[in-house]
Amino acid sequence: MTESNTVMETVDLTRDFGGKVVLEDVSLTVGSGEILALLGPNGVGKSTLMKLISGLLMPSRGEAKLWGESCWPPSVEMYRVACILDGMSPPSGTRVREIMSLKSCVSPRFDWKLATSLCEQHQISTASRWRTLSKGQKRWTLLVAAIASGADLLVLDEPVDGLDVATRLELYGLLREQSNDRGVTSIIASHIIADVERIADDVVILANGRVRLHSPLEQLRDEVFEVELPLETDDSVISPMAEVISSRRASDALIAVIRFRSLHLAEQEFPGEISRRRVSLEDLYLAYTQPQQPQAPAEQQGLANERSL
Amino acid sequence: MQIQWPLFFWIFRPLRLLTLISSSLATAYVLLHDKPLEFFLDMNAVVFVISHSFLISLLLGQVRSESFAFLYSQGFSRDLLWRHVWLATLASVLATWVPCAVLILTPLRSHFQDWMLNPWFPLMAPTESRFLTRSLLFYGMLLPLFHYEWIRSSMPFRGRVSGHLLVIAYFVCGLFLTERLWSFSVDLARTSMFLGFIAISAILGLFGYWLHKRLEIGA
Amino acid sequence: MMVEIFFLAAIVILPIYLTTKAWRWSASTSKINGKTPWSISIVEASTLAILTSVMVIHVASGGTGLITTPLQDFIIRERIMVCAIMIAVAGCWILLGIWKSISLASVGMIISIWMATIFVSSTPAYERFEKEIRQIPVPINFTIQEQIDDIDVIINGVRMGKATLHTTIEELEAKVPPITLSQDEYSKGWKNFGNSTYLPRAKIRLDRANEVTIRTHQKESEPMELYVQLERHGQPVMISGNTGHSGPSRMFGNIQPATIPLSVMTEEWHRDTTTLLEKARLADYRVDTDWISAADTYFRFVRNALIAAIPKEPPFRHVLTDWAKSRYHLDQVTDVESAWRALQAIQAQVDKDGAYQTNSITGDAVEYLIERLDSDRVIAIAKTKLKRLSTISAGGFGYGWGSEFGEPCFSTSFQTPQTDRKPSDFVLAHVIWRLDQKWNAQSNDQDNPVEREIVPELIKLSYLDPQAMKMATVLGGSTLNEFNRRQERQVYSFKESNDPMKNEYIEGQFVSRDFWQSLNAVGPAGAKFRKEHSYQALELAEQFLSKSFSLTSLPNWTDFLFLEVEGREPLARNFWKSFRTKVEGDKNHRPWALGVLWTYLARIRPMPPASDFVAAFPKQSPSYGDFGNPETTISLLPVDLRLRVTQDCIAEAAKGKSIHQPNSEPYGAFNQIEFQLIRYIPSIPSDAAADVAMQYLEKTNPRSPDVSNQLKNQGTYGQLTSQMMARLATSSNPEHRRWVIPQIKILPDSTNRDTLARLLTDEDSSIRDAAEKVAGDLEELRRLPYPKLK
Repeated sequence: MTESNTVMETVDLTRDFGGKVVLEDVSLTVGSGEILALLGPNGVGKSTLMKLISGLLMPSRGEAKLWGESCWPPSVEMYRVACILDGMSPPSGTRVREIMSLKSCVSPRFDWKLATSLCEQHQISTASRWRTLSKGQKRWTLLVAAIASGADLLVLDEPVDGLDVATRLELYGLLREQSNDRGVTSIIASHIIADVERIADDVVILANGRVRLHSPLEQLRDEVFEVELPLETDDSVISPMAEVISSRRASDALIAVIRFRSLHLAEQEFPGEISRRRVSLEDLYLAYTQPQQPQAPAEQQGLANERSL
Repeated sequence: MQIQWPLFFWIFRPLRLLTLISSSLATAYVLLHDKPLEFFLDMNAVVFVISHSFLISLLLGQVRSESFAFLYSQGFSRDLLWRHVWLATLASVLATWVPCAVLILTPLRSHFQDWMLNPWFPLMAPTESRFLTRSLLFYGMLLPLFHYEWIRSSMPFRGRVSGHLLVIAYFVCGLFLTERLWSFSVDLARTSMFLGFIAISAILGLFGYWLHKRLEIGA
Repeated sequence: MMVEIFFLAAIVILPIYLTTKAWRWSASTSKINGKTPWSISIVEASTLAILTSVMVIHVASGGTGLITTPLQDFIIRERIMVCAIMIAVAGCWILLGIWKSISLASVGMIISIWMATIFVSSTPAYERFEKEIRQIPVPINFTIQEQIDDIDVIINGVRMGKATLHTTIEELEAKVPPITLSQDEYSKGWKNFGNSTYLPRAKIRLDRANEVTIRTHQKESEPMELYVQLERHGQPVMISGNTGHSGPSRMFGNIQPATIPLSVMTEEWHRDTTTLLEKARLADYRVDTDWISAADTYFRFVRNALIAAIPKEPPFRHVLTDWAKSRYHLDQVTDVESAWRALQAIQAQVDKDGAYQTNSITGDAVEYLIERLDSDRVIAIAKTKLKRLSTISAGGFGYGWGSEFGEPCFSTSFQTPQTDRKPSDFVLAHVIWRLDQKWNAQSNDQDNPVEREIVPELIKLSYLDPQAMKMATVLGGSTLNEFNRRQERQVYSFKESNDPMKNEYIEGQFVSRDFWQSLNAVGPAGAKFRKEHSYQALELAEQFLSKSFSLTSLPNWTDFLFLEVEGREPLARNFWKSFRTKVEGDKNHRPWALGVLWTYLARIRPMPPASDFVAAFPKQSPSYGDFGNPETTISLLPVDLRLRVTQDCIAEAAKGKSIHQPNSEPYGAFNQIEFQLIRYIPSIPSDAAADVAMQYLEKTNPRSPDVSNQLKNQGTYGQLTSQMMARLATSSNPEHRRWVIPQIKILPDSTNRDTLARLLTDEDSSIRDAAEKVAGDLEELRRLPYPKLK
């Protein structure tokens, strides 16, 4: 990714609330047209990260940049960013038309035609008041406003919350279309990992306020496997060629999720006799986010002994 | 300055009811009050301006509300938002006082009071324009103070109550000195006190602007 | 001034300075990192500190912290000390606020400043200051009221310097030995000049200014007793009466000097003043420039003598006018422009004097100019001035009734200079008032320019200042009438609240302001109001009478009763019975009772018949003091009523128990009151009175007393009238003709000089000689150069 291609960049981004660190040393880069999925358990700092990117919160340390400009104090042309964040909604008496107007007011590229057609497709009248809309309609309205605004960066926190399957698919289609046609970058935080797997280019997994994984999804598919290893497998044998993400003991084997640094080397080391299967993103997410089983020293010793065999 | 009308109406939305009530109250008061309007002698007017200013700031400064966060997440520059917050404030004040000004200056109030056989009218009508200017000046002194108060309380650093403390000190000091302010024999003392209060308001107005740029949303 | 500058700096300059600093820092602050930015801490903490300090200084000084009267050095030092402590404490907390927590610092700051207040206000602190303040000299000034230069002041026998003498209590205590003289000792050598008694020395009891510190803290101590003697060019100067009790004060941060005014006189000055008045009489009250230049040297003596003489000799008013013309170069007034310049010169002088009253030479000069001024210009300027004012009140400003009934006058003096009002403004007020009177006399059908332009402005002002309404009611006009007609009045006239916008403080009670103003309104609107609300008006008067009765003269609150001059039952007439009952029942004020009752009657219009006056005359006279001086009150009545009232009262007095043994000299068959009234008759300026007096004199009345001594020595009683002199001069009794000659010398006006001329050819040679001597004396007086103060 070239520097000119970078849309969003964070460097050691840290934020605490009253001394409690929520996000720590987050360094990410997102390029133009990418769809980045932010994954992580509740309270891990996804929303905080998105607010920091959107210029709504001030970093305690580090920096978030959009198109090379610092997000705080919010001085960049923020109309290029459209965000849908948790805990933010228009007043209940607002009409859909007014929401679109407000968005059109901030964004010179706002596409009224697109906004109207997308609303109509979902039986949302622009004259409807916010309080009369269903949860899904509300979410769709906000998404439409964000997409129609012509923003270059979409920051979407749980965008499909309340949407039915068809609408979700429609949304993903739209996001992909925006990405392909206009190079729109999307940063999406979601708990529906199957959906993310469907759409994301890159995945970031946050755990304990830190980035545990930031990788292109395609690359993960090729590099992460669940392997069954002899109980005595030595860590030093694996380390040069793979990263153990998680491991658990079965009765007769050590089952580990491993990300191979070099697939070629792995195939040499673990020829066909070792069981190896691809893992889903969900498994990967669980592997990253679930607490690591502490390995008893004996086990570790055992693994080492095995490898030495 | 370019006015973004949708944004203006959006910000003004919470002030609609307040403005309607304040405008009706002020208009009725100005029309029906049977004594000549003298701002600092008329405690009703003073209390009205304080309450109106406070409520404007309170309604515009609902920083913790979802709608406030929504607006501030829409990508408007903080300068644009600040200008429109003040525009909405001004609109509420003007919507309240323009009808009063019309009543006083046309002078419908004077004619009405004259018709009601009020002895002070139409004699006192020309002196009442002072009431308008003084009321507006008082708004000008209070609004930066109240706006500062809500912005300050939403800042992510220590001393969130200092905005409230400032407002309390400002009012307590004002109350203590009001009586003295008018009995000073030398204009210099009176003027310096008055300028002091204006200076404080102006300074807080400036820093309110500065802090608003750094206001955290949805923290 | 220093305090003001301090506050100005603290409140305006300091925050602005800090803000610019803070703003500069804030511009470079892009990250906050959880800490309060310096800029915000500084601005908030300093603003809080300043606001709290101002408040605390205000409280600590008992509300005087911001009073801008001239403060003594000590007080300034003390306040600066307090302020410095406040700023130091505030500064510490500001620093704490910047590094730690602004909230904590703010609360701490307020607590510590309040603690400082308690400390500063504590008794030990005050006692320390008290000790210090006692070291500050307390000034005492001895001034000469008549403004005579070159007078030496001798106190308790020690020569202290020239008047005006500026000294201090401390200097007096150091230089002047304490002496105590008995009443006889210190009043020895007293003399009467005119109606006043003068002593060779004045006794002054001087307080030692024990009220120190900001709080009132009074201590008792013995006053100093000073005996002041004056000398001019080595000759003693007499001092009027006992100057009494005086003292400086150190109250509320001010050291108020004691000023002791001394009214002076010498035989020479009194003689010269008398001569100047006599020469004016001889000139038939038309004085020339030489007289005026001589009178200027004795300015205050002559002016006071003239003002005192005018009630008995109204033509002296011409002398005052001539003098005023000369003093203010009014002869040069030829057109409106020069009149305007003259008015401006008068205004400048009035501002310099700091006081103005209509009943003065300056007032006369203004009266002279009124006819010659461009009235439009006066009104335009007055209107502009009124528009700028929020009050017309001034220190000592009063608008009330003068000595002549129905003749209001202004009197104003300013204790401290006002920024928006000057004494000269009242010169304009005087002109406006007279213009209104002039135009009303010409035609009262429609509003004159004063009523059209000035009265509305005064009514506007009256919303904030009731004094303005007082003036507006004097001027009247349709605007005022309409205003009064529309006033919402309250039947219940007495109020409990002291809201100055609603109530007026009269006779120790709060009265509905609107009601009171309308009740006192002059003109048709007022008359109509009083007529419609006569019941409430009388009820109000009853309440005044019952709640605040303390009479030594007719109280001011009765004025509104006499404004009703039309109709069969005017208010004063209606109220007369209640008033009389109350006055007669008041045992404490008997010596004043008759005077008060007759003054009341004399103000009723139409004038009550003589029988009413006689009816108020005490029937039983337990003591002479019950009568006071009835003749003084009678002289206030119209001339045509005086004789009738006097005669009827003589008849009434005859029924009373005689205090003195009848037939004893000099009363003859009369008691003292009868005698007193009889000897007043020759002073009544009418032919009928002269005839009656002649009857008593010629003993055609069998009970006639011997009034010849009084006629011979009228100087102690009152001058004979011209009519009486003419009668005496043509009397067949040579004694009568002889008696009149010295009287002519006292009042040598043209009529009396004609009488003298007749006596020059009297058949009796001794009378002729006496007349010639008086004529010679008068000629000598005429030739005598005008005496001037040396």
